[in-house]
Amino acid sequence: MTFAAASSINIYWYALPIMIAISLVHAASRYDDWKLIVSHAIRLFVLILLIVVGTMALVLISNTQV
Amino acid sequence: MPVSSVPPNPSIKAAFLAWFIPGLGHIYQKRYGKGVLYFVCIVGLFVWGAILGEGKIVYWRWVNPMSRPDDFRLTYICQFFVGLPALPALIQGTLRYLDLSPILWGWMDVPSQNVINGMYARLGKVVDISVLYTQLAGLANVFAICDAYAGPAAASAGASKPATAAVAKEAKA
Repeated sequence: MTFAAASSINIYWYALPIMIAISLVHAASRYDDWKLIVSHAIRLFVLILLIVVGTMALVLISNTQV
Repeated sequence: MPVSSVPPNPSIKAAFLAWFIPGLGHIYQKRYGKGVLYFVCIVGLFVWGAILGEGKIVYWRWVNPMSRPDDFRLTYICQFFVGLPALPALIQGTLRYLDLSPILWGWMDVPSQNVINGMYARLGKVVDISVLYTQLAGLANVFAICDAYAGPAAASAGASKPATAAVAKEAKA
């Protein structure tokens, strides 16, 4: 993969791997049961996603330059 | 995948191994699944971030943060917790401080300002994203180190039920 191609990707997509990894690591650090790890990771991922999308929507709405 | 077992006692050795290579502390504790999960997530984030930053975003300078705050590499403090993958930067920074030549072909050596400027010109915000990836990898490994040292923060349902039952039996007796 060229770095020119990497820089052409919309920057918001880079948040997804971070969200997934952080959700999984946080869930794994709280539980030892795999069912609990997966369910906690999914809930945390959805929560982070909602917060990020919600914040972005608020910023876009409040941005007078749009 | 098998359910991992909770470590019986706080283990400094496991915590050190978890810092040295993410997931190794858990593999040492025979919690193989979690070890692999931590390794893939943490090292994956770190390596992907380092690749996006063309290998020039993980470095360390021995400077006084009070007298030279612009040169102080605060981000490396987070990156340091990834362990072995970030250690070459500490070695290169120390060699540079001691006026010695860099090793490993200058891998993770302090890049010149021209190189950094050129990278920002070509990649733009991706440089900041790559730094964020590597920092978050280090911070995520702090969770893993704590887990290796003292077990999961919240006991799993399978692990907590027998313990609760044992406590209840003792209370009855």
